[in-house]
Amino acid sequence: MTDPYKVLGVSRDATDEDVKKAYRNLARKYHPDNYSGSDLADLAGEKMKEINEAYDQIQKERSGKGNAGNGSTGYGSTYGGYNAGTGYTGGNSAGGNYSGGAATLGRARSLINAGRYSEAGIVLDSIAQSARNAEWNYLKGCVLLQRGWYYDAQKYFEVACYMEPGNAEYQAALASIRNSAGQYGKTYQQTQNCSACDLCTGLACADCLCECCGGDLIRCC
Amino acid sequence: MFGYVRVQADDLRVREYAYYRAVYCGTCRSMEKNISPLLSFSLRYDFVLLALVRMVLSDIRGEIVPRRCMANPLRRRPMMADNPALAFSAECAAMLTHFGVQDNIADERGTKRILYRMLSPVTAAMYQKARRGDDTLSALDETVRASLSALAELEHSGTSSPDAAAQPFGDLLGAMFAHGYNGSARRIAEGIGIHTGRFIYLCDAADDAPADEKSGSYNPFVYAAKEEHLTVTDYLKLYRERIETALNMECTAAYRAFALCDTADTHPASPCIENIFLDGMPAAAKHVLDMPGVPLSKKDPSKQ
Repeated sequence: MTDPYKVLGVSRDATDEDVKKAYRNLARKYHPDNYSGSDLADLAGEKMKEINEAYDQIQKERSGKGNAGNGSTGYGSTYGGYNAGTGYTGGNSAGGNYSGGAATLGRARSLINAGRYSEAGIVLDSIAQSARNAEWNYLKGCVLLQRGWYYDAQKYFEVACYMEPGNAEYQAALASIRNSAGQYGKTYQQTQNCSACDLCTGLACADCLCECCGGDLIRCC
Repeated sequence: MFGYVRVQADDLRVREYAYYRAVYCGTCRSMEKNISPLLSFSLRYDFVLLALVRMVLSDIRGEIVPRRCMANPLRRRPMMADNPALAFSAECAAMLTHFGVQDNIADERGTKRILYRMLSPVTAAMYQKARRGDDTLSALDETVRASLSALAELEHSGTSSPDAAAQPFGDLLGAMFAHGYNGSARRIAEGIGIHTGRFIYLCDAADDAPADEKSGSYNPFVYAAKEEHLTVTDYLKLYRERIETALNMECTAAYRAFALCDTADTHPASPCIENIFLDGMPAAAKHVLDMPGVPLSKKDPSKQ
């Protein structure tokens, strides 16, 4: 069996806190939500399982055999019990205001929930232009998102939100794709240039504040 | 077309950047030695990424050795000694350069066309040499040709969906990254290639959109703008968030695929690849959307 410490990327003498931190970082990296609908979801699931097992094993080793049964302390069970497609279940608030396409849309939704995206795409395309309501746009967006067509997926989600502004499911789908895109991109967006002018302005402000309080930061002004 | 897949040098450690430079120079040298010194002129950052990813997938750590190079013959530079990942990257460069020249002969008019016609035997000879050195390239050749004709067909049909237009180029790079791998490594490599290819196509389309609108060349954003009765510049401004999100999602998806490599946590090339996907490519996308049509610096990455 592989060394659990190697799996988590920590040394044997790492503290419990370090092990937990390493586990959390890896769990965040390979979390099933990150691979939801992806072709690589099964590989991510295997990786997650390996990480959970390694963490459980270290917990068992460190807590002694007596406590072997409750090693996972929440994390293992939280990340282990993932079921693909959960993101699309439960939303049915668009009911009632469309006529002929309701049953077909329901079928498309079940196909999406079952992970049969291409079949769902065919069902959706068979619906007449006039019956393409907010839910149709939302479901179409889900199919395109799974295909990795992020531009078109957003387009359909935006139309769904526009047609039915109060629908939380459609808004959540659009917010989710935007949050995912910004999940890692941090450094270049947050870096703002600080010019000599900015520095001088900052110093002048600091000087004013100091003078208000009876002190002085820059004596000459 | 290329140049969007670059490192954000400021965010790399000195030794990580030195490793990237060594692979960059090693890829160039591999082109020079294995195929032709002329091929070195076609070196782009994309081929460096291809070499880096294949080094991680094949767990080739490589050896950095001091060597002289054509561009700077007086000083020895540290470069990655030739390895199968670098050699394959050089072969792919020969292949894409050849197909690129053929494409330009078909598309361009006047003097440019004559120049490309003159260049054609040179690139054809380089590609032939690459194929002689690697028997497996024939299979890749077929896939690349199929992707290029699918791309030409889509462009001819005038699709206004940027995603649909980007897919064949994604498939092309997916096949290139995955060539020679099996099982999960193949699926991971394909995922990285597809999203990188789609990113390059979409970035290039957004960058060229104003020029293509003037010249009348095909561009999905120009067609999408026409549908909404907008100029392409207004369209890019109006849908900036959607386009940037889509581009960042491609980077994220490529990174997530890469993170699944067995050696992703320990290989010395990993920080460079992560930097490319999470910093370099999003920064290039931001630059393109801030100033479409203004070229990114094509200079050496050390002078960025």
